[in-house]
Amino acid sequence: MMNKSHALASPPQTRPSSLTASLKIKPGLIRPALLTMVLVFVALLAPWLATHDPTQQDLLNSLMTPSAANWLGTDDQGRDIYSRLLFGLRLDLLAAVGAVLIGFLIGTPLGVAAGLLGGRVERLFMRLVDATLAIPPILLIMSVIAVLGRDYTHSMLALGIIFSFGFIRIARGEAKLTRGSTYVLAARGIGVSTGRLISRHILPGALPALITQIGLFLPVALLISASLSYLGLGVQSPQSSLGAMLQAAQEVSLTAPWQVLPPGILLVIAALILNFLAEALSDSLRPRGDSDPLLATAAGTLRPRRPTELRERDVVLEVRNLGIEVADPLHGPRMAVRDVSFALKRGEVLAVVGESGSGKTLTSMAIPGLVPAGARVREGSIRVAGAESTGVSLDRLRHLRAHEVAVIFQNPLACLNPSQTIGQQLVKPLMRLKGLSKAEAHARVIALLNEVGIPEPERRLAQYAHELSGGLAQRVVIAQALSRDPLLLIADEATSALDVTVQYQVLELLKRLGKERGLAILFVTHSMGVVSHIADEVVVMYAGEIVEQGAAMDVVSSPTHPYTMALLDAVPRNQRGAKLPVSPPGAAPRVTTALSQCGFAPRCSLSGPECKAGPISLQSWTALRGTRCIRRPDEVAQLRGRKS
Amino acid sequence: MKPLLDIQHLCVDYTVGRKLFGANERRRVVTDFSMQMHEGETIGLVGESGSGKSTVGQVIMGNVPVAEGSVRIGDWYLERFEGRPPRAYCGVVQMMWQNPQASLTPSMRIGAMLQEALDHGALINTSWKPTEVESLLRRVGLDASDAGKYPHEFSGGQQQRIVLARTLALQPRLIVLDEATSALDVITQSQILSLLRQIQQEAGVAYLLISHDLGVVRCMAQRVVVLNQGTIMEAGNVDSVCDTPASAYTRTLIDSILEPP
Repeated sequence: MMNKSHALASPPQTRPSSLTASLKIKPGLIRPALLTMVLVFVALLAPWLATHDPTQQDLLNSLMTPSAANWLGTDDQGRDIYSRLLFGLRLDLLAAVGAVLIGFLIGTPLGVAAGLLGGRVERLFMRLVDATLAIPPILLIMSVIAVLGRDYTHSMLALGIIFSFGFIRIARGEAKLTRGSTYVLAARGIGVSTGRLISRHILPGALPALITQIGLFLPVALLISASLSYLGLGVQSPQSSLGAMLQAAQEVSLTAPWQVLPPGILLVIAALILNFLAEALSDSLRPRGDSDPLLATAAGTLRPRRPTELRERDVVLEVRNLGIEVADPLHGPRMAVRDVSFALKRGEVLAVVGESGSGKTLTSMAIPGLVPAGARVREGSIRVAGAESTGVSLDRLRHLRAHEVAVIFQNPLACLNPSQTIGQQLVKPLMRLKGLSKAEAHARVIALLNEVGIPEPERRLAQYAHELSGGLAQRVVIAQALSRDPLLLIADEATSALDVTVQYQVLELLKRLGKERGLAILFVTHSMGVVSHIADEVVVMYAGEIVEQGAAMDVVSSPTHPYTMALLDAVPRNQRGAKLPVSPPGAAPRVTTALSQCGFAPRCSLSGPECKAGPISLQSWTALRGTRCIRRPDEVAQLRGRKS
Repeated sequence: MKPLLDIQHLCVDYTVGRKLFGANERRRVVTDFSMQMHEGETIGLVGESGSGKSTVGQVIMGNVPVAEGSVRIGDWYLERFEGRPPRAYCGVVQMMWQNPQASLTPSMRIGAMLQEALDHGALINTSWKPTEVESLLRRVGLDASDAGKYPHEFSGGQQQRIVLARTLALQPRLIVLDEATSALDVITQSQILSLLRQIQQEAGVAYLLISHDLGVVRCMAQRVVVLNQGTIMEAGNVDSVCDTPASAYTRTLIDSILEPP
């Protein structure tokens, strides 16, 4: 049973999931929102803020300069400019907001309906929208006003219709995206009605995009409304509008040129504030894609290095006391990987095992300097063929990635360029990196494809990635990695996405390549089955620390850490009368920081007060084995006996 | 006893190319598939990607039409559906997907999502027994206080528990588990499998366990159907199929399983 006792567990991701949640945390939205509120309050409170009736004429006092009675002077008909400004802003804002809302209210349901219906109806409807968008907007507005008459409500309506096309396109796109999503399928699966499906499951997801669009349309609408009033198509005299005021000012531009300043400046300020809001909205509501996980790190600050020891000639990789810090926007930097040390020799396979959040990927990606943005190596050293690879220049890292360390990932199709043939992707880099001629590189690539067991290599060279099966694509990626003659191959869950039969073949291939080429392989995986099949050495990670390490055969056959044991026991066996595995309660922590006790203690049936008294160090109960557990191996083994 | 699920000579076609004129180009993805399943039983459906195992699940859900043959579940005949199945059908069959986070609407609180399912259960399922959100949550090992949270606040295993709670809200007789535990890490997977087993003992629900992992199938299912390229290679008691496979394909599958000693 999952219980609440796992004190280490922290919320998995801080992905903005709902509108409220995503608005809440964005400090960038505060200033534009405050400014917009000032604008709105000025408009709302215009009747109380104004000193005069904005329509009251006083022809004797026309075109007066500012005075105590008329703060900003009077216009050509002697009306108070300050009061007219307030009322003008009020009406222009009303027209702008009205137009955008009309657009939103017309466009959203139509767009969602089109996106959900799909097929011929949608195609026809969208072509219609495209055709209407091709007509110049001013022409559309003019024709609406020609039919309905001159009034700002009519121009607002016309503008709203034009904006609705924008909302239709966005709402349709969002609806199309979510229509195929599993959660909409799941909601349909429990029999949710179409109306509810739209209002509860689809619209909330589409709202951020739609609200961003509202923000983008608002300043445009304000300027267009003002322009229409300027042209005499919007707000009609004697009502006040910034556009109409500009127009009036233009007529007296020879006698009183300063008259354009008040409405002009206010219009610019209002438009700027709304633009500011639009920008902040789109920044904070746009789903923030996780930053590119493969950005090179800044050189980390390192602790003084320990005296280097004599190294064995065959050691390809040596990681010592590695500590990686990860930026966490909520809690500040955390040490997500702590005190990790291991070594890997030529021709050997080392498996790093752990669940998501254990730090296994972070550790392995730190080797070629590929930790995600925000993470950096804080402590310890990583040496590839004896040379330090942390805190080095980008040039050195490039050399490392090009010639010494190759990485292959879980999804091979995502690693191949979809727009280039396999041949282009393999031959060109080889020519550049190894200085080969095209013919030489071609011959080398054919040999490589043969080596990784790809049938008919000549034919494959002309194919694109999407024409290959997952297994073939992974072989191509392996060939690509081998083409640079690396010393070390890092395989990050490289077979997890493949079918069992294909996984088996690819593992066999990697094993053979390791032996034949003397290639060192670091295999990152969550599967104990894979470990027992391929690895010579194993490192088990939990909560950012190594909890057990040693020879793979020994660890797998006689684990000494309760977590390793749990991992092994949880594998469902293909055996007669196989029972459901019994597993420890709770879940592994997703993000960790330096621990004050045994990280596994909250889930461990052997834990006692001594496990929670302080951090546990790696113990060596037997030779060549490290275990981060204070219980003796025979005590731990008893645990296993009790369970089965 | 009349079986809960009776599939006879099922064939399924997918449209592969749309033509402007004439009939669309179609490809047969499942051929002559027959199986029966009883109330409260677990059957494993095993095969590699592209074998058609998920397609069979989608047919049972009513998302993919029957091209030939017949599929009966309870009193429902799927080949008679035109388009989407009627809403009442949800009270009979439910499904759990591989990715729990994707199957939960990100903007809805857990409580609201479960309440929605409960409301529909009461509406469509004539034999539906009154339940509430809190007891559903407790049944899948979550806290009643979790009702106020959003899906992203949970780990993958907890999300899959929520998905399970939602399917249970409709009190179905069959749940299709389409790789429902394969995205979880191995310890969480075993926790979810135990929960599924426990729910089955309480509610008597049948599971169609679609999986590529014979180990999981072996622990959970009584019978197994091995599918390759849309045709049944072998079917029978899980022990006899796994210990003495009759087809070469099943043998390859079994030999590819990586198990720690």
